[in-house]
Amino acid sequence: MSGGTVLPDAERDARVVSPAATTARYRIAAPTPLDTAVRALAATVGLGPDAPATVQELTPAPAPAAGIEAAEVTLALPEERLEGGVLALAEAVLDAPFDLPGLAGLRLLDVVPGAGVAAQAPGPAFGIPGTRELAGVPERPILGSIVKPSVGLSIEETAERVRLLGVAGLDFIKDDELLADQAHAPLAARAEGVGAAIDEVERETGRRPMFAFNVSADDVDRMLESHDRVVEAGGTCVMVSLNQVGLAGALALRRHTRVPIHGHRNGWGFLARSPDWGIAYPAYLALWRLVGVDHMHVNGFANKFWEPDESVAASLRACLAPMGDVPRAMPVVSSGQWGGQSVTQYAAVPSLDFMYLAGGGIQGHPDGPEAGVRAITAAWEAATAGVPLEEKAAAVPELRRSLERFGKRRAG
Amino acid sequence: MAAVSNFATYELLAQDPARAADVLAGEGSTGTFVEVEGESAALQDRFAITVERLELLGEPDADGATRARLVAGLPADLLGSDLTTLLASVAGNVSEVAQASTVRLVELALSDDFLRACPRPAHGLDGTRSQLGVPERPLRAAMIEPGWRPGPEQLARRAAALFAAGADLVRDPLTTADPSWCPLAERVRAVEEVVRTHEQERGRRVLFAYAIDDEPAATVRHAELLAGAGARCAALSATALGLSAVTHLRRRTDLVLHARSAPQALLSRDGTIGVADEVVQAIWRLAGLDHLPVPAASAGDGGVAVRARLTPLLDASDRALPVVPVALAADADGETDVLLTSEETSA
Repeated sequence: MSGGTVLPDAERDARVVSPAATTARYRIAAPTPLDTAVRALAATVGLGPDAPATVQELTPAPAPAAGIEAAEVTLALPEERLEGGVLALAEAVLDAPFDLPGLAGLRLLDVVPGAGVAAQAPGPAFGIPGTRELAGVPERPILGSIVKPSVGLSIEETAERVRLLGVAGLDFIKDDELLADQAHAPLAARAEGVGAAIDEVERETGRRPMFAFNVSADDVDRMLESHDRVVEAGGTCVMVSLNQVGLAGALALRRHTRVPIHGHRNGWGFLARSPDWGIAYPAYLALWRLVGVDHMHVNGFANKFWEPDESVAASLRACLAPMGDVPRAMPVVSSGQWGGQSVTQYAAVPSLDFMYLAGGGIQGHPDGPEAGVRAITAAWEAATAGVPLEEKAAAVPELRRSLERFGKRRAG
Repeated sequence: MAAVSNFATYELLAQDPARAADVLAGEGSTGTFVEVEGESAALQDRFAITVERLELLGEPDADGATRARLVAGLPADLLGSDLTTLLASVAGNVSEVAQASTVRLVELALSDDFLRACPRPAHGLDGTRSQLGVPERPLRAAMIEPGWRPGPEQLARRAAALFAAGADLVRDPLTTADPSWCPLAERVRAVEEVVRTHEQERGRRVLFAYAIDDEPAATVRHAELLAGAGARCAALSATALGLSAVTHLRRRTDLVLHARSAPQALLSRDGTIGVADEVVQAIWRLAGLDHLPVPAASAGDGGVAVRARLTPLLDASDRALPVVPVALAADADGETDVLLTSEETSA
């Protein structure tokens, strides 16, 4: 992951509140002279050579190889380019620019929507406050888990797991992204089965966990119908695989939805992992936030994947930063989480406005999911109180067991 | 175990390719970072991705990492019959595995059952040729530069001139469907008049590709409006709209669907990370696009990207028409089944 993907908050805010044009910041690399490539990029992001985007800022960047020049360039888009709203913005910054010949690298680092695009786009309908209200969690992190095994359970097995996780005290439970509408557990029947399990949890505990049903589909009407089945069954969240469904499909769901949209970014590595090509999280987030996704995945500290902590921290900060009048999306921290990362995360980003998802960290806890929930809750209490985890673990045996079981993994 | 009939091939770079292959298979199907109750053998049999073959490509590099090619078996029950479900598996969290420093999806071989469930092109190469009545030679397209904001009559006059100059297809300079300064209904009325006149006077059929970029329900309405006015072709940004919107549209229209740029070129641009063009183009054909640009990065590839678009997936009807800038015509390697494009100004 490249460095410098997020501006310091103050600088970012200053640019957001300015009523100026929509801007896109890239790192571009091309054979000398770079000017030619920058002009081509500006033409493509704009409306051709006669109506290009305006170069607002051009800062040389370290050259990746001999004979190659690199720079960070901020482009202001002509208003005419944005008549189609967020979809037009997406085409401008993501489509033809990445198909330009003669480049050695192109990364879209940030997108700052101007007032016009932001006003046209729906933005999150629920965001952080709406999600907290529906989940019944006013202040602390929303604690969640994913039904595992990820795919293959019958509806009865799924419902029973959801009931166990709900009774164990989770605020939020979700489908794995690999489970959508396959024949062994069709979405409509799953919504009913899981809905009944959630009702049962409510009867037993007085609390109603939020469940995110994966309504991703290669047909928009099918997604909307799935949403309707979920809502009918008392569900309070729908999930989509953002990269697979795409922006217009998500936009249609946003126009239709009565519950928060949980945005899963599987495929992120293919967009972000190359040092030379791709898209950095702040730019990616800006588009989905305009579309109106309520929950945005950011990986987690000491995650099981490739992404380093500083990149996760930058993503988390981007989610929490203002973007004009567009509400914030709730960041979703996940991947290899078991609570032990709380201290590092809180030190890097001292906020409790996030969802904290643990799959194996809860369902793989040696004493069962309830113990997993207690361990993670204790870990976050420790982080916010500035108490070392080992000290907290002395008082909370479930956390001690978690430390023994998972603490040997790189804990950030 | 049931016989596997879907395969995804990856190239990866890893310290321990065998371990990376196992993790990748787990991420694409039933795995998590610790084993959980319920991962029964029966469930694994039915839903787990299998490592069918792992081939080392050379010796370890200076860092001790070895390039390898992994053929993964994808169970039919895992994939279901939906492209977004397929992609969440083959191009989802597998992109993030820490055990490989690079992962690239290079090939996808899908069962006839899965392919049949996909929308696929309504016209493709053969359908476009028969629309135009041009059986053999390369097709010619004039792309009017974006940024020009003509009224409907102005646009129609320019289209007439480009058709007269020999274009088989003229592409809209617009990138949104229905701006107030050139509403789609008026645009199609004016331009289709020109198309009909051209066909009557010159005896040569032509297509105008109208931008219909919009939200999904609106794209369907725009497509109905076009079809009602006798138009036969629509242009869009597949990258911006995304897969579910394109499949949604394809299932609801018979128009020829023309992608303005190579969809998701970003995914294939790094040579070792992401998704190879061969796979990206197949996905978008399965989604139903008829005209698919070759990516700029394919320049000098000796016709590989062009031929990929012309290689049948289920059968010959799903061959897309490769869109090639005239400057790169040499890359078509003598292939005549192409749409050669030239950039045209507003006057």
